Amino acid sequence: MDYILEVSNLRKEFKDFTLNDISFRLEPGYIMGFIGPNGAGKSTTIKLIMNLLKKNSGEIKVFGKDHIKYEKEIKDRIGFVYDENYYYEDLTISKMKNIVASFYSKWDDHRFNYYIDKFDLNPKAKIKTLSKGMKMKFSLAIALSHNAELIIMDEPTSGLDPVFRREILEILYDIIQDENKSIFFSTHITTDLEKIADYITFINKGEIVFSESKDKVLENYAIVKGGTNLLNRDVRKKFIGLRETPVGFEGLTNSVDHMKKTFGNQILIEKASLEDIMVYSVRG
Amino acid sequence: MLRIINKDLTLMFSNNMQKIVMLIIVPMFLVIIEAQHMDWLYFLILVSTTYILIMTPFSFDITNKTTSMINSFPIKRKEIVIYRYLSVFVYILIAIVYAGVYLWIINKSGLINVDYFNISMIKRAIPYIMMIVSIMFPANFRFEPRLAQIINAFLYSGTIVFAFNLAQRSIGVSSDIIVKLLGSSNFIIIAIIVYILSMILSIRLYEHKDL
Repeated sequence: MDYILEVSNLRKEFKDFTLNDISFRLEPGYIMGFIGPNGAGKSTTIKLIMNLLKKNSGEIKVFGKDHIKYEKEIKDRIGFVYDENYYYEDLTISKMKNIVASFYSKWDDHRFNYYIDKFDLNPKAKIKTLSKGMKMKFSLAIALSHNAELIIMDEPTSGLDPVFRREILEILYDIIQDENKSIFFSTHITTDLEKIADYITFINKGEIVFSESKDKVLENYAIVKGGTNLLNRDVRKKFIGLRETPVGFEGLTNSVDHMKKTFGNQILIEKASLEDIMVYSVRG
Repeated sequence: MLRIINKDLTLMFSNNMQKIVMLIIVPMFLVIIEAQHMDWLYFLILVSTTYILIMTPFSFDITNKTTSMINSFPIKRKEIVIYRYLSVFVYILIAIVYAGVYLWIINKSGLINVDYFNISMIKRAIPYIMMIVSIMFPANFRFEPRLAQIINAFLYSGTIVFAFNLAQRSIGVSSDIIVKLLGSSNFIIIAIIVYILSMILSIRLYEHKDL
């Protein structure tokens, strides 16, 4: 199987944080959501993929090729959208586009103009006059205008209103209709991913908690509710995270069958959302 | 290289502040310096104009997060460094033309009699700029923006004070040891060697830097 993105045993050490030998893979034609709380290592991982940070060890392959050895060729096929505006604020959209276009071998002006129209952006507007949402639209227009096969996005929807977030998700969904394209999408707004992601990779404290298909993740995890009288040391061990109140408990488990078998009708089992999984896993 | 220069010049002339700086730099030196040696005044204007052309967009990239954007484009860090070093010569050429035209207009207007093209001073200015850049670029590629800017400021201040002093001095310029050094052919060779070593060092530093 050829993966569009393959990260193996990736390690990056900082003074106060270590990305600890993480691994995951993304196949062509899918969207992978990269979730985790702030400071979990999402942006670090993306910067390592883009060779903005230097890894201590491990391997990153994009389009089956080493990301440093074939850096230029690989980056020509990647569209990136970062969480902050990294463009020159004094330039107009049109001038900034001219600068960016000169770097890509397959730059498509027609497509760029299509997105500028679609996003209702004024090419003569200076970047510093754009709102956060408009800057994000501009970044997206740039990322989508050079026939990129892999779109890497770092928190593209954070700080945006729900209407625009939905608009971005719809665009991403359209992109993914081309089965040769993939999207790697980091976010802490997990509801966005529940709508569009095929795979979820969850990172916490620099370690991968899981990297699986979204359906499997949502199938494996569940929220269990019941009375505190049911909790003993062995039962507590079956929970990834547990919240107790004087009247009962609520916890996240990936031992759903065991819970059903042990407690039957004494407990209530509900589907866990990605947010539940993230929150309970982080809090414990 | 043209992509980087295109980016730099587009950026520079999109910023009103930079446009004003470029516009006032030549007359500013003519006004504030009571020059005894117009050739050294020309040297000072040439070095300063080149410095602004080189450093403004470069330090903009260093101090802002645009470095992440540039390095996410299909371009290798090694290429970025090499293009930076090569582009210096393009900026020197632009500065010669820009300062030349500006000073020629001032000369023709009869306001002040000033050199607008002095080949011997250009020959001195080029290795001098190369030596400054040889220190400035590795510092900017390696250090945090704040420290790099302090180094830039020191180097530029040193340059200004040095050329300012020479332009204003009424006697003894030709006997000055630094002036002699600047005019010697050995200085050009030293500058080329230092420049190449500096470029190799910058490549090493930048290739291993976390952005």
